[in-house]
Amino acid sequence: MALLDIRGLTMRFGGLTAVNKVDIAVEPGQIFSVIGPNGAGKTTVFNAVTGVYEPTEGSILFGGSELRLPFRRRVAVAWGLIGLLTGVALALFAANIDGAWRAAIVLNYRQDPTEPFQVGKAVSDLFTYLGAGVIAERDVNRLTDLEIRERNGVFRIRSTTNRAILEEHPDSETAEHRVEILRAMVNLAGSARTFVKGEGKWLARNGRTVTIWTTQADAGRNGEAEPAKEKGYITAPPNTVLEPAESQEAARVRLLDLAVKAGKLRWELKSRASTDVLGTAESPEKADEVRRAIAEIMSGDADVVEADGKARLLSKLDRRTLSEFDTRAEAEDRMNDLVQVGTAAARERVVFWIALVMGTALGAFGSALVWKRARRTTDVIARNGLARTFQNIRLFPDMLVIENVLMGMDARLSSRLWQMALKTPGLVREERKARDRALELLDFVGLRARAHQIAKSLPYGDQRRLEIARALATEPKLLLLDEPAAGMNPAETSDLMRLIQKIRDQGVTVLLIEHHMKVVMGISDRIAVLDYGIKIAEGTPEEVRANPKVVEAYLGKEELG
Amino acid sequence: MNFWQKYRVELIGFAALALLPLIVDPKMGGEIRIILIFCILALGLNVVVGYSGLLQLGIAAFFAIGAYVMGILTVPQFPFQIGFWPGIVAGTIGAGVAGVILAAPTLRLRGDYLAIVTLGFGEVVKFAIKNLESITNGSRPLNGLPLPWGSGSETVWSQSFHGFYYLALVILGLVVLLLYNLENSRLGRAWMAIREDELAASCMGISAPKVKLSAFALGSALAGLGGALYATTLDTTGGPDAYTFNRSITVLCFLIIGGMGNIRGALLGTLVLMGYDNILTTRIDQWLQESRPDSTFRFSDIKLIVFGLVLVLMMRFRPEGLLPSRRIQMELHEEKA
Repeated sequence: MALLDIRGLTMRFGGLTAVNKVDIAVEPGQIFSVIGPNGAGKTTVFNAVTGVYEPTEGSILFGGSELRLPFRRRVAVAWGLIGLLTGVALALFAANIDGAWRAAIVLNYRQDPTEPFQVGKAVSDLFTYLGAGVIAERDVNRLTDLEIRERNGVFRIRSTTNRAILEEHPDSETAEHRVEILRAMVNLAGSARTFVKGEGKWLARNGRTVTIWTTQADAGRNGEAEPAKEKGYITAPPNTVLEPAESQEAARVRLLDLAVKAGKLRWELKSRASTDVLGTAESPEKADEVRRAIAEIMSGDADVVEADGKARLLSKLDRRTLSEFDTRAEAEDRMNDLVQVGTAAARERVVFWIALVMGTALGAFGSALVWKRARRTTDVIARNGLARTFQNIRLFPDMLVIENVLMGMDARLSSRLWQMALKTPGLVREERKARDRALELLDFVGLRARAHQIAKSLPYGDQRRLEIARALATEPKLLLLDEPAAGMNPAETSDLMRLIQKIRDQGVTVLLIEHHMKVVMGISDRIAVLDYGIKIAEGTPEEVRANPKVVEAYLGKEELG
Repeated sequence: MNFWQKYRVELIGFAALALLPLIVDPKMGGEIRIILIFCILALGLNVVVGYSGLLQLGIAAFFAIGAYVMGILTVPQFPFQIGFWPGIVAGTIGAGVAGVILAAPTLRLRGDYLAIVTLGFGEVVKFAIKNLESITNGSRPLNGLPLPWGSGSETVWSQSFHGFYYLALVILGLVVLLLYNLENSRLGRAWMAIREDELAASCMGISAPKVKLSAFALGSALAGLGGALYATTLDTTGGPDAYTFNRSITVLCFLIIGGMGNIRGALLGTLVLMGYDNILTTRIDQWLQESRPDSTFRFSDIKLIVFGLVLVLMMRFRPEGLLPSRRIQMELHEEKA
């Protein structure tokens, strides 16, 4: 079986046909030459074989395989992942990343640090937001104040907003003192925080400023004498303790409780589809209830029912009262408004899902397409044992000679990234082995003495030989040499011929493009002749030399007349 | 060549920097601390531009991503508060991943085109930070980043520059060690081969996309590491205007002045340029004010003119930079011989 089997290879570039239906079969162990005048398409054949260009038509088999990037399961997984990434990115754009973050993180934490952060709730709020559902946002900007009302000798501290009674005291002095403290605490629920012990620091989070007390003793100096480790304190700027609590948690609960009682806090219910406040609630539990009711009305699952002179919105599902109004018209207005928001929300939901699904599909499809187009790459082909040199020398000019050879060996080295980063003994061993092998190869082409020079400082002939050494370092089964004798003097040329024969004797098959007839006729086992992209002859050197078509291609047709 | 002979410049430099805090005043120590962090950034850019020859004009974006990932995951404003060490790892990895996401689709671009894409990415990141109000605080910075070690050691961190100085120095040392290892390994060679001739490299069986991607990922990750450290040191992410195109270009100038593709060059370029900008200029200004108190002339007014002039002269007389890479040195040596 032929090692390299080119069948019907056609290469077109635009309208130009560079190679036309060429068949070449290289048997293992041969030196096979491709010759022909300039512009015959020889190098194009090389480029097609090594994967620089994709063949327009025809097939190139190397050892019976097409040398395409194999399809593995992880390739499909990669498509899926890229698709998912695209889809999620697009969906987040459609949903507004900032808003999603706000719904999941900010509303759950930054705005309401009196509640411990719960990951589960953040995730569920995120999905509520993405579904354009209703979200409870904490509103602390309500004006509220406390006042003292005397009744039957009892001094009651109550909120001016909702008239809720917070505390009762027997004398006005204590009451006045307490009202100051409570006022500060109610206000704190909006901005400043309880003590939080974190990172070994005592933080008094106080609106914009964060005071860090370096030690417990420091914290004690500003507050109580010796605060116990897990004790919480409700403080006010500048860090005076208003009221001690048993724990942080207790302090949090106390603050929240006070703020809710005084009417400082409330929860506004909003939908992504509408910036209007759809409803309000006084506590988190109430907010949840109102939220569900609004969601039900929004999705059109409510009826208006009149009874006892009141209009009620009842759930279609369990006939629960969702909302109460004085007149039927009011109730209907309210319902229509909410249904409208619900429609807008549904629209946003659809956009979100379209973005997610289409993005995923497009991303996966696109990456599959790109992968399919780039299946036949030079590096895959090279790793499968097909090495080449270039007509216009392409060394790594600023690297050392030995490094050039080491580059050729690269694909045969097995060190992993972490090994390279840590310079493990295994890596050092492998590197040393590789260097020895590189020196051997340089010895083989006669460049050992120049191993530590810069590649571009070598004379022309040496550069060609270095290119051959580099190609040999990839341990090829087939070596493609593109005009290796170009620019060489007769002495160098005969050295080169010997070198090529030596390479063949080591078991490497050689495919050669050459103009130098002495080289071609001297060492080739078989020769193919290309002219204008068409193979005009193939055979042993003697057969080719005798072929009139070849003579015609090189010298022109004899005019009879 | 043994270890000492090979790296004596680095070792002496490291020792000198380790002893430096004993003699400098706190203000200057604080400046040097920032310079050390920028050295990490310059080394990251050096991997992309110097070794692999991919012109990257948006390195500040990755610096910003490192700083902001660190910030978001650690400040008290958000619930995560994962602490310094996990934060710095997350910042590094986050920037690296961002580098991969940017590089993967743009790998086919070369030269100027890649430069435009990276430049655009830098601006995109800046504006994204500006507009993602709830995530990044918009144009205001995120404040209150945690310290590397907890209770009792705060005085070391906040009262003097020593804590972050040595932290930055040690991390820089580790980064330099890592890069030397990589430079002399298979991957380092592959980066350079891709820079020299991509087609020839891929015909040797090197997967060009993988190699380029690794360079981009590592460069971005190092920039992210620098960013995370920078934000912690200053206790603020500094707002989006700290990560402009200007910063990317400045870091590129460090490399150009110092010498592309060379670790020593990158370090020297950063020390020289940032030293000039942050330390020398203020010293000259001080001196001018003391010697001629009535003069309104300030050296800082003309520092950019001087810098520009030096850059032009550099390009004319020493285009390879102060400390060109080993290879270019050898080459010059070769031509003389």
